[in-house]
Amino acid sequence: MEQENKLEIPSIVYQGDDKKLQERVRKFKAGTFRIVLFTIVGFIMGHYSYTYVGENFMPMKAVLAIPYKLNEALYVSILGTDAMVGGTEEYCIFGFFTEFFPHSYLATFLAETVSTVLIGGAVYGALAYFTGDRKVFTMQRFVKFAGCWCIAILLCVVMAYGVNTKAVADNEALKGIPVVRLYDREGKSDSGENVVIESLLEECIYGGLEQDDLQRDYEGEVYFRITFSLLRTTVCRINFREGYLVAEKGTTYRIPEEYAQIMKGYAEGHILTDTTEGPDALERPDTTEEPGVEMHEKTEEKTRGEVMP
Amino acid sequence: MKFAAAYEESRDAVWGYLVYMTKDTALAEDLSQEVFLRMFLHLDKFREEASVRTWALRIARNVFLSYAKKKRPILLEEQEWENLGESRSSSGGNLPEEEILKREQAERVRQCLMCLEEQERTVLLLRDFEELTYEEVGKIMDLSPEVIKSRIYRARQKFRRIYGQEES
Repeated sequence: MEQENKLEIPSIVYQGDDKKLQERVRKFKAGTFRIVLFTIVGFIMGHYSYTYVGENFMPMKAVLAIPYKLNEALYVSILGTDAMVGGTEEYCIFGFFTEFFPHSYLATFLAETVSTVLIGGAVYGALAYFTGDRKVFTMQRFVKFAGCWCIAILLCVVMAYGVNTKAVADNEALKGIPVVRLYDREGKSDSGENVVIESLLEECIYGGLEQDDLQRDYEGEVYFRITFSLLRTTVCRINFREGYLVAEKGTTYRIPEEYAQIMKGYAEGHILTDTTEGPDALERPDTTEEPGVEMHEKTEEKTRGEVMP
Repeated sequence: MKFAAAYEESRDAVWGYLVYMTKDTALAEDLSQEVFLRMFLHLDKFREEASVRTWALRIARNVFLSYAKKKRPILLEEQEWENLGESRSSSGGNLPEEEILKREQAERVRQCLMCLEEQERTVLLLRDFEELTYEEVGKIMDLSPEVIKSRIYRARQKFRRIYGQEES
C-alpha cells in the first residue's frame, strides 16, 4: 500500500570532479600539517625564549621574548608576585636566582620551561591556524583549538603552583633528606669547619627537630641554605649561641643540646664574628673588607691541624 | 572504516539530498564539502550502528539546517511557486530529448519540493529518494517511526496536490 503511494523523485548523481567535493578534507589535512609544524617551531622558540636577554638584534629579541614575556604576564596575573619571589634579596645573596618558584626546582621547571614551551606552541600554532582556509579553519573550530591550549597551560600553572605550595610547606616543616650548605655573601659554600657544621645540621634536621616557640635573638642568626633531595631548596637562619633554627617563613626549631654544643664550639671561633649580622646587615653599604671573604680565610687557617669529631 | 570508502558510499546520497533541499548546485557543492569534512573529522566516532549513508545524511541535514538558519532561513519555509526562479543547474546543451525531459521533470520536482516545509521535504527525500526505512529516517530526524509514517503520508498528499496543480 505504502509502496504504491511512493513518489517518483528523479535520481541525481554527482557528475563533477570528486576532488572538488573533498576539497575541504584536503585543505584540512594540509592545514593540520602546517599547524603541527608551526607548533613544533613554537615549542622550540618557547624553549629558547629566555635567550632574548642576550640577543642584540632587536627584531629577533622581540620575537624570542614573546613566549617568555607572555608566561611572566600569565603567572603574575594569576598568582601575583607569589610566583616570582626569586628576585628577593634573601635568595640573591646566596647567588641563587630563579625567577619563578625558587623553593622547588620542579615548580621552577614547570613554570619557566614547560609553560613557556606550551605558550610558544600555542602562539605559533594559532598563527598557522589563521593562515589556513577560513571555511575549514572556522572561528568556532579555533575557539576549541584555543580552549585546549588554555586548559593545557592553566593545568601547568596550577601544577607549578601546587608543587610549589607543597614544597614551601615541606620546607617549613624541614621534611626530606637535607643537604645543608652554609653560604657566604658571594654564594660560596666553605670547606673546613663549615663542613662539620653542615654535616651536623644535616644529621639533626634528618633526625627531626622539635618545633619550639622560643624567643629569637636576631643578632646572632646566620643564614644558610638547605637543599632537600635535590628538588627543593630553602633559606633558613641559625643561631649557634642560642641553639635554634628558623625556617624561611619563621617557624622556629630547637637544636638538640648535644649538637648545639659542638656547633657552638666550631662556630664561635670561625663564623660568628663574620656572619652573625642578621637581616639588617644586608642593607648595609659595602665596606672595603668583604665579610664573606674574611670568614673563608679564617676558616682555612683554623682547619689546619684540627681533627674533626 | 576508511574515509575513502565512506565517501564512495555516501557521495550521491548527500549530493542528491542537498541539491533537492537547496535547489542550487553551487550551494549544494559547498555544503557537501562541509559534510565530508565533518565525516572525515568524526569518522573515529562512527560506531556502525547505522549505515554510513544514514550517518552521512544525518550530518548533511545538520549542515543544511545550520546553514539555512544562519544564512538563508527562506530555505526552511514553504515557498510560493511564482517566487521560485530557474534552477542554477547546468542547462541541457546538446543532450538527447529523453535526457532533457528527465531533467525538466527533476527540475519540476525540485520546485514542488521547495513549496513544502523543510520537515516535509526532508521526510519525502529520505524515504522516497534515498529509500531509507522509517527507522532510519526517524534516526536522522530524531523522531519515532510512527511519527515519520504520518508525516510522510501528509507530505506526499501535499506534494501531489502542488504537482497536480502545476501540471494542470
